[in-house]
Formats: sequence, C-alpha cells, structure tokens
Amino acid sequence: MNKPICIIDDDDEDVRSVMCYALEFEDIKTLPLENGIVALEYLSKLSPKDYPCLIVVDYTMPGMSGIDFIKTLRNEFPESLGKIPIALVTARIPDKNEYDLENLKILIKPIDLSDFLNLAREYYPSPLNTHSSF
Amino acid sequence: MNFIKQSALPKEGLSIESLMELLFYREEFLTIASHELKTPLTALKLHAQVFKRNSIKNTVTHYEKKQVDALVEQMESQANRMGKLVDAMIDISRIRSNQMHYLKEPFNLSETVNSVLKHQFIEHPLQQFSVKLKENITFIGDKKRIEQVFSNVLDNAVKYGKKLPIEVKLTQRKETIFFSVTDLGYGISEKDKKRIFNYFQRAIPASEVSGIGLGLFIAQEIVQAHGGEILVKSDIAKGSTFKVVLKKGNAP
Ligand SMILES: Nc1ncnc2c1ncn2[C@@H]1O[C@H](COP(=O)(O)OP(=O)(O)OP(=O)(O)O)[C@@H](O)[C@H]1O
Ligand SMILES: [Mg+2]
Repeated sequence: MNKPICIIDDDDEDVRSVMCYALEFEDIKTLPLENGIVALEYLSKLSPKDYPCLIVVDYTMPGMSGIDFIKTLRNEFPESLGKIPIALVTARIPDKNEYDLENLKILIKPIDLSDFLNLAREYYPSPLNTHSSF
Repeated sequence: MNFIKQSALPKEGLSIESLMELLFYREEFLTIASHELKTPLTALKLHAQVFKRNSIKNTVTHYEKKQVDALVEQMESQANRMGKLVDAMIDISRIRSNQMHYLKEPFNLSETVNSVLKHQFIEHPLQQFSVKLKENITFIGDKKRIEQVFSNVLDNAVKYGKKLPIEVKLTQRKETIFFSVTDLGYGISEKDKKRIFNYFQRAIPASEVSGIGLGLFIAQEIVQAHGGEILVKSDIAKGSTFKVVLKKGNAP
C-alpha cells in the first residue's frame, strides 16, 4: 500500500491550488508540484514505501508534457515508480489510440468535482485502514 | 459558365494556398484558445463545487469569514481571467477579419496615462513607479484602445519586472509622442524580440509568470492602426524598454 498522499502536478497555480483544496477538505493529503520535471526529480528520490497513492498530472505543461512524464515513469522505472496510479488531466477528449497506456485515468477539463473526488478515493486508503493500526 | 465565374477569386484575391493557411491558423487559434479557456474554467468550476458541496454538508458554519472571502476572491479572479481571454479573442478575431473599428476623437493623452497609472497603483500597491509626464498632450484617435495599449505594456512591465522599480515617461518632440516603460526584470533575448508580437507567443514559461501571449499582438495592431509603432530595447536578465511612438495627425 502506497503512502496516503496525492501528488497534484500542474503548472497552473489556480488549478493546482483548488485541486489540493478540494481534496484537503475530504481529509485527503496532497502535495502540489508545478511541472513534470520537478515531479520526476521529487519522485526519483523517494524510497518505495513513500510512493504516493496517486499522481494527478496535467497534459499541457512547459518543458515536459504530462504524457511524456507518464511515459518516462513507466518506461524507465517499470517495476517501481511506473506502477503508481496516474490520472491525466486534459482539455481535449483524447483519441482512442493516443494514450495507449494501461492503468491511466483521464479527467477532462472542466473537471467535475465528484468525478475528481471519486477517483481520489479509489486510490486513497480509507481513514478506517489508516487509523486501525493505532 | 456561370458557376466558375462566381467562384473565381478576384485577381488580387487570395490563392488557395493562402486560404488554406488562413484556415490552418484559425484552427490552431481556436485549439489554443479553448485550451486556455478551459484552465480557468476548471478552477472556477471546482471552486464553486467545493463551496456547494460544503454548503450541502452544512459545514459552511465552520468556514471562517476569512476563508470564504479568500474563496470568493479566487473565483472572481478566475472569472476575470476568463473574461480577459474572451475579450482578447474577440479583439483578435476582429483584427484578423479587418473588423476592428476605431473612434477618431481628440483627447488628453496625458490624462489617459494618468488614469491608467492610477489603476496600476491600486492593483499593485507594492510596485514602485517613477513617473515623468508631460502634461496636456492631446491626440486624436480611439481613447479606450490607446488606454488598452498603455495598460498592456504596463502590465507586462509589472509582470516581468521582478518587482524592481519601473520608469514611465510620456514626452513629445515636435509632432511625435513617446510613451515609454522601462523595467529591470527578465529582459528579452534578441531572437524573441520579434516573435513576442505574434499571438500566443511567449518567451517566459507560464510556471514562472502566467499569461496567454495576446497582449502585445493586440497592442501592436492598435498602435499601427493609429499610424504608430512599438519599439523594444532589451538585454536579457537586465530589463526592457517598450516605447509606444505615436504621430499627431496620423489618426486611424
Ligand atoms: N517587459 C517585459 N519583459 C520581459 N519580457 C516581456 C515583457 N513584455 C513582454 N514580454 C515577453 O513577451 C511575451 C508576450 O507578451 P504579451 O503581453 O503579448 O503576452 P503575455 O504577457 O504572455 O500574456 P497576456 O496576453 O496576458 O498579456 C511575454 O510572454 C514575455 O515573454
Ligand atoms: Mg502581457
């Protein structure tokens, strides 16, 4: 089980902060990061027990697009970082064969809060699980 | 044959190639513009939905006034961001289809600069400005549009000026008016100097300073329609001077 934290990786400050805000309200812990390169750097320093339970990543970001970020994670670290669940946020309904990637959730802008929360809950350990060990 | 005659383009008209190119640019423009719109729309929608959700759960009483204020303020700023983008898109589509109409009225340009500056002082209370204005310069043209040009150039100086002091000057030599804004911020490289006047062209990543890259394109169009030009002097990492040059009697 990965760590109960969601990474929100988006270059747009407004979107990034409201996503974190929405999740924190549901007692879901978040870590905002501002682009793919920063996120890769951060993730590569983690030990597997500290891997986040979900990464939400924006498609359009300067330097490295969301899709390149996902491909890098999955091609270069297939057995470790590549296994972390990811949701891709995009403004455009993607072509079927465009993201030929398994295990990829897609959120289309403008995102709906309930879709977003449901997705996060799917991967976020429920409070019961995390607290039962105490 | 009648049909051919009707569909044939005038001699000086556009070739199929340039029509295709125009179509391509329009497509590209719409794609980028809708992307750009969907980002603040996402933020606005999520904000509203978080608010609604908590209101239904009746946790609203737990909100502190400060939190509510901050939330509403952010929603307002996202709505403003979208409004600006839509305005810019309308301007651009007018420009592209030659539908931009300019008023031709005499006005006090010094006062216009003053009122634009006043706005900047309110918006950016911590920003330092040093201002040198020649009073009572009159000009004939579209006051609102010229105001838009000055605001755009000033907005940029604030945005890309790294919070360092900004120098604003309005001067007149014979029949030529100069409005210049100098900042000590990012600066612009030689290869970017021309490019930034095209639409959706930016030289600084949005993660550092956000923007859509329409301001200068529109400003340049307005100034050129008034028979003037915008000049740039800049050294990368040292700062930039944008100079709007207007000629009296060159109204649109
Ligand atoms: N004073 C300045 N110093 C440094 N770079 C500048 C300055 N003014 C403009 N630029 C560069 O030119 C680009 C285009 O400017 P423009 O005003 O057209 O768009 P923008 O500021 O990015 O967005 P907006 O459409 O919201 O104004 C900017 O993204 C920036 O890279
Ligand atoms: Mg600008």
